[in-house]
Amino acid sequence: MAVETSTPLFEDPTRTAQRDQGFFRSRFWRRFSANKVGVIGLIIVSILVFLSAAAPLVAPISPGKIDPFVGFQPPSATHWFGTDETGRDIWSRTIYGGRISLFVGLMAVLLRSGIALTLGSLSGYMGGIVDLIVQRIVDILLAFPTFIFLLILVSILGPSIANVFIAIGLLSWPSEARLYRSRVLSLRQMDFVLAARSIGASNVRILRRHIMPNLVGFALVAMTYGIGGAILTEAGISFLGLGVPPPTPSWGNLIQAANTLSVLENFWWMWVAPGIMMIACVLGFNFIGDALRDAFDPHRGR
Amino acid sequence: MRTYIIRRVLLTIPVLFAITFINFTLIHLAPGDPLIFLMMQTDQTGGMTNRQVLEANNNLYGDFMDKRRHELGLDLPIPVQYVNWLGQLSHGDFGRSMIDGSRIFPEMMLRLKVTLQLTMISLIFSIIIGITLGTLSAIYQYTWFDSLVSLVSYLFMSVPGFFLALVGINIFALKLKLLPIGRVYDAATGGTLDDRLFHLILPVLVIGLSSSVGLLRYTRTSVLEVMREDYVNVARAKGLPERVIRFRHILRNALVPVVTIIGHELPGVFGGSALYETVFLWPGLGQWAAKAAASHDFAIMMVVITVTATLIVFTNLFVDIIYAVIDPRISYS
Repeated sequence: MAVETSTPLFEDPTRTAQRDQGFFRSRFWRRFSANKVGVIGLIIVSILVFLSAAAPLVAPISPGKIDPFVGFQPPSATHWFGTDETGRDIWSRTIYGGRISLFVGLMAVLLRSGIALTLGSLSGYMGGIVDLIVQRIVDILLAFPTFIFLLILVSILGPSIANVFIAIGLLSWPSEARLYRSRVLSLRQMDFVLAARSIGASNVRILRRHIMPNLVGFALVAMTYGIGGAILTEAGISFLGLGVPPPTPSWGNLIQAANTLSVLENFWWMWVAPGIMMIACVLGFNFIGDALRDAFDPHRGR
Repeated sequence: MRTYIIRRVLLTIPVLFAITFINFTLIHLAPGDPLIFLMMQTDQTGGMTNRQVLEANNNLYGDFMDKRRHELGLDLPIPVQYVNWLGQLSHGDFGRSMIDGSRIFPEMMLRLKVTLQLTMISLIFSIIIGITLGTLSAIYQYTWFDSLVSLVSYLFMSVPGFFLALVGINIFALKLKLLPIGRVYDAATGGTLDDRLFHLILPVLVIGLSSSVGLLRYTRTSVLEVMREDYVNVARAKGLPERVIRFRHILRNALVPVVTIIGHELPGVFGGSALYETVFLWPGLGQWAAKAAASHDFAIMMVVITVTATLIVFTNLFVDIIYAVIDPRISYS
């Protein structure tokens, strides 16, 4: 332990970052907040997260409330986004649908990045047979038409919210695992890893204290993009009627209404409203992802 | 080079076996008997669970169920079924639909044809758009053109392709009535070339634009990187005309890594066809897979994913060989 606190001969970037006190004064936050696009993304996502969290307050009409007398109504003062064929309020359904879509996106990404981080860093750090096996699995999974594979998996597992994010998580990790692997391969050659090894640190310790902290930035960027991607994938599956089972709204199965030609042509609010909300959300996550990538990139100027 | 190509070709064989084996086991590990779904199509089973249906059917038509199961080869151990299935595939026998019992192979060939038409034309269109716009926005970095392209590509990255397709149909087909809603051709014309091309416009525009974004951004980064290389400075210092520098020195070097990205786009393009073909009423493999997934027709799903994955493996093999040929920097031993 004494060695760690002595003057560092080999600068480990995460160690230096920790010396900055307080999040809002950190170099990371200064660089992120200087990026207009990132701040816009953060605002969009914050609003959507707030709306989802406060759904019962901002959308007082129950999303499941059927009222056959007000079916197919265009947007009005009582129904901000109009109503669907059974008179359910589209604004409520969009807000409650956002809850489901954001939840599915988050869970899918946690699963995906969990698998990718574990297998990717092990594969890069251990090399040899572990690397060979993991890379062959990655190769094989990358040869599949991902979305069709997803449809099959969801069809086998059966339609439920959990099965959607499990399927997305299980099938989308290979490209991300490759990213971590190549990063770990270069980190392994760094002087601070050599220094740690020379003072007798074990593999587990090196992975945990020296490799993993240097992957945090990478992982955050990948996860931010990943949430947007997972939300789009969920929407695709639900659009085909194989994802989130219908009485529960999600952005995808709300857009599914547009599969009927008369709805597509005449009752645009039924699918445009959830669609735009979803696009805004994904755009927000992509903006944040870009800003995070720039903020973590040591090669860019402050 | 030759040894690299031979090794690369040999490597695809275990990958193909792995793909077929995964597909096969996955679908046979699925909970529930495919026969249940067969029965559910014909019987009124309101409110009953799958198991209850199976039991009811077993009680009523036990002999018949066993006979069907035996006919479909569902009573054999899975490894035996896998080998049998591979043998059948090699004879061009892709089995029968589990729902209506129709032969899969003839329908698959028809659907493969229309899917390839749509995806290949869209892919070529997206490559042209992606590389052209990517290169231009890199060369004119920090101009209004670059900002516009960046902004639009950002937007397209966040809009799911099927939503873009819905908007396209709404505007161009339903409101303006300029283009057809979907389908390969109009039954009235009997499928003349003009009519087929006319029906391709909207799908190709939507799919092409939607899938060009990744390629565009990648091309832009690659061109920007090459523009900073020493040999570009040298070429400029020599006094070569800007045209020559751009085409001979920048573009040729920047596009080498872009070739591999085209190979990486394929799983997305084929996968996405499930959505596009559903929206555009395009009777291809993707639409078939989506329908089969909804009706739990495992036989069709298994064929579609095997065929598309095989196509992807061979295209990637082709891309890798091209890459080895055009990139002189890497020596393959």
